[in-house]
Amino acid sequence: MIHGVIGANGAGKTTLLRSIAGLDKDYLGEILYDEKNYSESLIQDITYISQKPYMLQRTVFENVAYPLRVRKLDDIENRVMCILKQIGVEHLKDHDATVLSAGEREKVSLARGLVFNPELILMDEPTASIDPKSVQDLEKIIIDYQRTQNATVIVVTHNLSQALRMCDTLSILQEKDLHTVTREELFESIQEHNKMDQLMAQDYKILGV
Amino acid sequence: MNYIIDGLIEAFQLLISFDQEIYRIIGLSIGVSFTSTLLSSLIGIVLGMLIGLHEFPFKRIVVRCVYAFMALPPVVVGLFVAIVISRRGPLGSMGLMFTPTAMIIAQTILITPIITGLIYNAVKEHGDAINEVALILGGSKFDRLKLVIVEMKKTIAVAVTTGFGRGISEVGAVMLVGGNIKGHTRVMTTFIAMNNSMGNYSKSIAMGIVLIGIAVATNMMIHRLTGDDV
Amino acid sequence: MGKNAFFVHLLSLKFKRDRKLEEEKMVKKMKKWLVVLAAFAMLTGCSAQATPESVVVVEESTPEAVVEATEDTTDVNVDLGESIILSTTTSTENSGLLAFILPDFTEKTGLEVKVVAVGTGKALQMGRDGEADVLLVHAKPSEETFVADGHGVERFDVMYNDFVIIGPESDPAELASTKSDVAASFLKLNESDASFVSRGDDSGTHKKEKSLWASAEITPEGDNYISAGKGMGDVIQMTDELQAYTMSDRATYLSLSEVVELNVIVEGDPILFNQYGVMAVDPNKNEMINNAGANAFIEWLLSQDTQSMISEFGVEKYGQPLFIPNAKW
Repeated sequence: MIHGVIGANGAGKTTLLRSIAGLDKDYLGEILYDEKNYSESLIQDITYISQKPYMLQRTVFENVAYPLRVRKLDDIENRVMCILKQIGVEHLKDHDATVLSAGEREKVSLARGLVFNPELILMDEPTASIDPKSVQDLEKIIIDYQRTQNATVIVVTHNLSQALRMCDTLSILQEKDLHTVTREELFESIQEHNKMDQLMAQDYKILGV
Repeated sequence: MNYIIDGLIEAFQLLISFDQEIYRIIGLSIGVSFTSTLLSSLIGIVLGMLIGLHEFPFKRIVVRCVYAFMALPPVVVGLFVAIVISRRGPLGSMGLMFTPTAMIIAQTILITPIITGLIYNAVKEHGDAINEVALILGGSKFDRLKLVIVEMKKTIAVAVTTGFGRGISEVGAVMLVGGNIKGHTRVMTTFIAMNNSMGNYSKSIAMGIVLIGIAVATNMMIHRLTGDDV
Repeated sequence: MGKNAFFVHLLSLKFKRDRKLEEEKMVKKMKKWLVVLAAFAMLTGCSAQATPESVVVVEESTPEAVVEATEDTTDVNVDLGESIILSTTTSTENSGLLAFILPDFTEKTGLEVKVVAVGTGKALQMGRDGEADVLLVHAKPSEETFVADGHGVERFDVMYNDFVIIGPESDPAELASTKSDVAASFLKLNESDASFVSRGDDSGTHKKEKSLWASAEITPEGDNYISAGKGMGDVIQMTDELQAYTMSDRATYLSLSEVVELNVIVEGDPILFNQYGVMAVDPNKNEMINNAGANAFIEWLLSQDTQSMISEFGVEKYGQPLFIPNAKW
């Protein structure tokens, strides 16, 4: 399942995602994971990919290997090369990760976040500052990964068309309220309201479609 | 003008003369400042990171204090330490006055806020991001601290060098708590001050050259170690 | 679908953004209370007077510093400790005399002498505070008061030299014409617009200078009277820079004579006599005072051997001794 969260800037999308990731504990209410409360061990199954990912001052390979080393898993060489290939950045493996372009960083961050096969993947605007070609690549990678691993993916985006391309269900965060709809329902409501039409049209123009 | 040139010539002559007393003084300077910097680093790096990574009540006041203490005048630190360790002070029975130990204590008090402040400043910029990367990728508390330290190693090097530079070049604190006692607590800075007032310019200049040399050498060494190619 | 998907449920979630505002309110409240407290403390504190007399530290003294005061020179069983703190004046240390004679003391007794060179005022204060074990200064009236007040055990003459009035070679105030009459030369100084640099630090030299002005019945003041607040060496250099006049002990002047352009203008007046004295600090002040060591030092300082060493010091370099021993037996 790929679930999208959209909303205007400042609506609280990032805070919501970070709360689910367990990075922000400053909230009232509950978040349940498979009917259970948050616990430290859940971290092992969750991954969070932030908007401007921090690259460790080492090679791309070592960046991606980090979560495996820290969890004391073996077979590091294989697992890292495998995910690097899947995402298409194995040619960068010995590069200094701090001097990559925004698109490359995002891909490396993705590799780093997926190398240990998490069940829940949280992404905060993963294609926000990336060129259109790389955007297409990343969207494809995410969709492929989700299908093959049957993971749950929650993607925050402010790009409506991206949401429609990638997501099975959507939550719209507006004035502290969350409306959840399926992709089909959203299409229908968009076609009903002219305003949304114009929005959509604008989006496609930017993407050059 | 002549006396400056004469001074320089005599200074070089003195430096290669292998004078025991001079070496002892240089050794003591380095020893005192090195030890103080070491202690200050242990306290300051940990403290700076803890403050930088955590939220707690009255954090703003704590941070303001750290920044304020970075500018503590050395002679004032010396004064307060002297008051405490003098024979009639609360710690008088420890016999610390006029000892290298007292000088180390004073310099540690001086240097710790500097290292803490510099580390805190850097950590508050990136510390959270690093900490979270480690956290979300499955690191234990120890892993997280380790990662922050590793990622910040250049900042740490700068902080430590700055601290050491401050220590080895100050004269106020070591003068007040050390007393510039020949053979016991005389260091490069107090030596220079004393010889200047005695009119021994060549000795002052000689020692001054050594002091500058040490400061520059330390800087270069540390920056080479952290792979700075600027 | 093989594996079950991961379900996340959000139940009545609310985020807090007002934490910072709450904290700021609390800080403001605290500040208000602190100001009130501080004002209160100042009002009550002003009236309170806290001056502890000599604080006797009741602690176990280290085994080395066993205090057994005795003046018997043949008693070798007294433990002298490891070191003594000798508080003396900058002029004494800067002259190089101590570096010359102290190694002999250490050789004979095994005792290290930690020389703290400060102004006479500070040296006497260190004695009063019990921070030093023995004092070697040159301010006889103050020293006698020191002993009379119970801070010192006994005062002994050690050596003397003299003070000199130094100034520029050209002697613009024409002080040399007064021959060796200090009072007359001070009068001339006061009338001229030449500058005079004073130690200004309550040292033995400074006290002497003040007494000279007093005996000439002049109160020195004005822009031409410069109070330096520094040691003798620094004052001489300042005098050189300003090409002014100052009063210095002969020893310090001699040691700097090659680097400054100043000459001795007035000398020989009996009032310029400068007597050095040594005193052990009262051992009852605190447990840390090494009285045995202090006594050993005094004994050695006044001994014939040491006294003749003192009379040799400086002869080779300056053609005259810098200090003239005059310990009485």
